Amino acid sequence: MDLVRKFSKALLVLGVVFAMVYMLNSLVSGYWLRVLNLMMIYIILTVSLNLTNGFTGISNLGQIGFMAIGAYTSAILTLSPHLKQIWLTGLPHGLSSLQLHLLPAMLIGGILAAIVAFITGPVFLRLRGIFISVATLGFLIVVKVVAENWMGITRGGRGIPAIPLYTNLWWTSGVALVTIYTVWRIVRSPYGRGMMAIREDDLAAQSIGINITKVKLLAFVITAFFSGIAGALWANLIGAISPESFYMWLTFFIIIILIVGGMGSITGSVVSAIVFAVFIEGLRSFENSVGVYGISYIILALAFITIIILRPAGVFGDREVNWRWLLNFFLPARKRLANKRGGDNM
Amino acid sequence: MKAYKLFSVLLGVMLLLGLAVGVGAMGETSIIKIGAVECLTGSQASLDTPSLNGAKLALKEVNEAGGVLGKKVELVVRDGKSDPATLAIVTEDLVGKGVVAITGLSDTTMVLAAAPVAQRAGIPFVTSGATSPSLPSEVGNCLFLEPFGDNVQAAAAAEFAYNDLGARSVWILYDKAMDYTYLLQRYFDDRFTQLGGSIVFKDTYQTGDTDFRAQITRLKSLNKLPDILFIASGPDDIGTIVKQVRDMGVDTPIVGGDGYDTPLLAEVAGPTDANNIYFTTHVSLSSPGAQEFVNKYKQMFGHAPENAFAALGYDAFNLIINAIKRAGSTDPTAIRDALASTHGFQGVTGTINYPKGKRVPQKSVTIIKVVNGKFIFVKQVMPTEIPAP
Repeated sequence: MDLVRKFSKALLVLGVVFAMVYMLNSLVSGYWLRVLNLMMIYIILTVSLNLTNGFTGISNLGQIGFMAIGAYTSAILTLSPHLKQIWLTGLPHGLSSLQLHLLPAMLIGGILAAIVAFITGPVFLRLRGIFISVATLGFLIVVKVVAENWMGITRGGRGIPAIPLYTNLWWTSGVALVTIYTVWRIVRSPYGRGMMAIREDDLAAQSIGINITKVKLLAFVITAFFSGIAGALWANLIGAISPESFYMWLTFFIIIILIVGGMGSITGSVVSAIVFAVFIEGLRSFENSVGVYGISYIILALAFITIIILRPAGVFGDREVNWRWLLNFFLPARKRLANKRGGDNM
Repeated sequence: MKAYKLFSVLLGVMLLLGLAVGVGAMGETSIIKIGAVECLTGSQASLDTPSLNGAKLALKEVNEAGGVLGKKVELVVRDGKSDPATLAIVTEDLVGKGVVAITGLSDTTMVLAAAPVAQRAGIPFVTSGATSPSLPSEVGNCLFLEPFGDNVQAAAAAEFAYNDLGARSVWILYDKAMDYTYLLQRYFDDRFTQLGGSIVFKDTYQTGDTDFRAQITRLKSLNKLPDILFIASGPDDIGTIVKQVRDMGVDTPIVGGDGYDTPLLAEVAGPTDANNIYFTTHVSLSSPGAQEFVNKYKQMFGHAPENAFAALGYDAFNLIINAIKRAGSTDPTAIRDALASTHGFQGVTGTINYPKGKRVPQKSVTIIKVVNGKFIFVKQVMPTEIPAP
């Protein structure tokens, strides 16, 4: 009975998403489709970052470096052989005549990012607290410098243009769903509980038998994998990448989305990513109508500071949004339903 | 709890506002919309802001003369923020707004991010300032260059350096993070060595670098200083480079491309250091042919045009208007075909012809000398031999 209910619930969610994507694809202009695609990519990035930064308490600032690895991999794999022979002269022969479609390119990008995370992870994860931030930020800088100087493979600081535009809303929303589901299942598995235990007190977690190196590495590698895939989607959405695209701005933009949504809240990350994607576009329109270019960054910074002052733990804290919570939000205090915490929240 | 509700309501309102503004602008048929995508903030701002002003001036003139095809023209402006992702998204925005053609941008890398979006929608894109001659083959049949290609200006610089300055050896410094600078030095190298000159050393830097002393020290440690320095640089860095070269006691003439045509050169380097510099550009604003444009620009904006990019923006916009007139229609495909057959279009920056099947015009190159921070017209040339793109 319970299984049937769960299964039909999942089907319902899939059906609704399918119908929405179908509708949006035919109704919405190219511009808004682009915004929706970016929104989905922000969701993938924020939800996967939540696994390390929110649930495991590793303050990872290198995420966008892994995204860059995925983006460059996918760009190189999907670029037409003709352009590769002109621009990317350092590619090995087998690669320069190869052209893949999005799915294999994206998966290879994600796996490559995960492999790099698997190799570098043990080094970073020996550190604690702020030192992990410094080390992973260093990783981000290393990735950028490599991308800028590996001329034959990455075309250096000039970036790779004319990448085929394979990404569409089906891909981005599909991957976003898979990311949310995977992270949600991990968080609710023994591994996820272990992650939260490590976040609260790693010594205590170790004393009850959690292999903290293994659990931390798992979180780190999965974040890198999904970031790599997000990078691949981004590259094939925008059509041009450069080392500058995957650097401080995007790093801190995703961290702001995460902090505002609430570290340790998956639904918080999703809602926050949606709001930010639309908010940025709203600011752009505002900027265009006022004619003062550059004002959107100032407003964005002010909004962030205001939120941090009003709600230091983010809008949702570590709670998940569920129907009961939503209802209670609009009901007067005396009619509110009791909130059962830690239960089936989705 | 209260602040928190207020906040979420506020966020909701912002969300709706964003949607409303985005959806609100629907097309009107009595107006012809032309898009302008320019980087008004970020590293390209000193070139793209004058370029947009030029387009605005041309727009004013067209509308005062009664518009085109009996309709008023509207310029829809978007800021690309010198960032590829933003450029792609704002270009898509312009396409969605129903523009019939797009103009703007002064850098090859930026065009490579924006123009493919217009190409996919079949909307002609006339870049006002990007100069890579291979752009049309990289983007497609909707992309047109308003300025000359880098191969033309680099060949002109090489011939000028070899024949007029008598240079036989050159030291090259270029920004490896820009298509423009990379191509410029490559074409210069091609033509200069073809003439019989020699490259003594090639050094690189990267957009955003602020300290060039390592490169200059390497230059000074050469056995014999070269006759000239060819520095291929974007508008943001050239002032700093010139200042550091001169401060370290190197007085050798500096030669470069149209990236030098920015007020930043004299402002950052200062009048004493901004000396003995030659560069190629699109038009000299002190030449008699440009005076009418300069005066109109002064009248509208209260100051003289900052550089030749203002004239390029003006010409690119007029080129589109001219094509719309000849096409007799606002259909983007018809406009594209009319653009491709442009012949003898008289602009401030010269006469534009697109030779059959090519979308890079044949135009002459203006050479400017910088004396005490002032730009002085030297001559207008057409290189005798041009390296293949």
